[in-house]
Amino acid sequence: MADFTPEEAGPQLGERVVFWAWMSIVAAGLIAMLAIPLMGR
Amino acid sequence: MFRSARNNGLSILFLTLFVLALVSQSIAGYLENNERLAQHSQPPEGFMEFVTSSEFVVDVAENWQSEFLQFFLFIAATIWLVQRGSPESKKPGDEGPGTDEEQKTGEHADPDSPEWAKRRGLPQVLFSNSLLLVMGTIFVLSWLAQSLAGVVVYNSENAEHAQAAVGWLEYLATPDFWNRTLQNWQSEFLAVGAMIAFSIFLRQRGSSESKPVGAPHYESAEEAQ
Repeated sequence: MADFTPEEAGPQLGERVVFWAWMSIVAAGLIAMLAIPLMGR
Repeated sequence: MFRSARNNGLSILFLTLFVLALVSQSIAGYLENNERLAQHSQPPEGFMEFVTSSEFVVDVAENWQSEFLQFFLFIAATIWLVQRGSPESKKPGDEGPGTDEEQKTGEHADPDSPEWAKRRGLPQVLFSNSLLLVMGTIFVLSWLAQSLAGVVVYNSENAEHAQAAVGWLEYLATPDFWNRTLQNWQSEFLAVGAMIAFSIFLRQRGSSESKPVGAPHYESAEEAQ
């Protein structure tokens, strides 16, 4: 028996925001870390 | 608002810690870099100049790659290997990727299962391995970033000592590259191994990383629930 109500069971905005926020942070970090040495800085 | 913060507390805490640690690292690295420049009678660098330099990138990237390697290996290894008694492990006998019924894929999917779990073929294969694929990709890209920034820093130090510059492939064979890489790997493997072993006999009441306090030492994660 799940310990949440049916209205909480579906994918929520909060989880999507968390997922894409972390994906964006990692992607931005990787792009910057690859671009800086490639520019010879 | 409060409920949203409660539901996402772990992510919010670690995002805050990450930002604080990265900003602090950049300030400490900037001060240390300027100390080194002063020792060589060179003018100091600006803060923005430092955080957009390979000196800063190589230090960040060498830690990123080892963390994502740690999770990549841990996710992959726990498919096929078990540690009896550890809450980080499936129970002995459950090794392998599991059946469609156990994994709720294809015709065994629930109505609210993710769309790509219900599908057959490539979408399901990709979705079934998406966590490993993403962690592995981030590991490879951050290790590449470490090597690219590392060679810039290495050549800049060589230039200070009137030594010849090396190419990227040559740099991959240098002790500098492997020292930066392996000093991070050893600590990750130690911490994961210790966590797996310690969690057999030790408990943290209330943590999802621990078995229930009263669970027997020989029980692995799924048996203990």
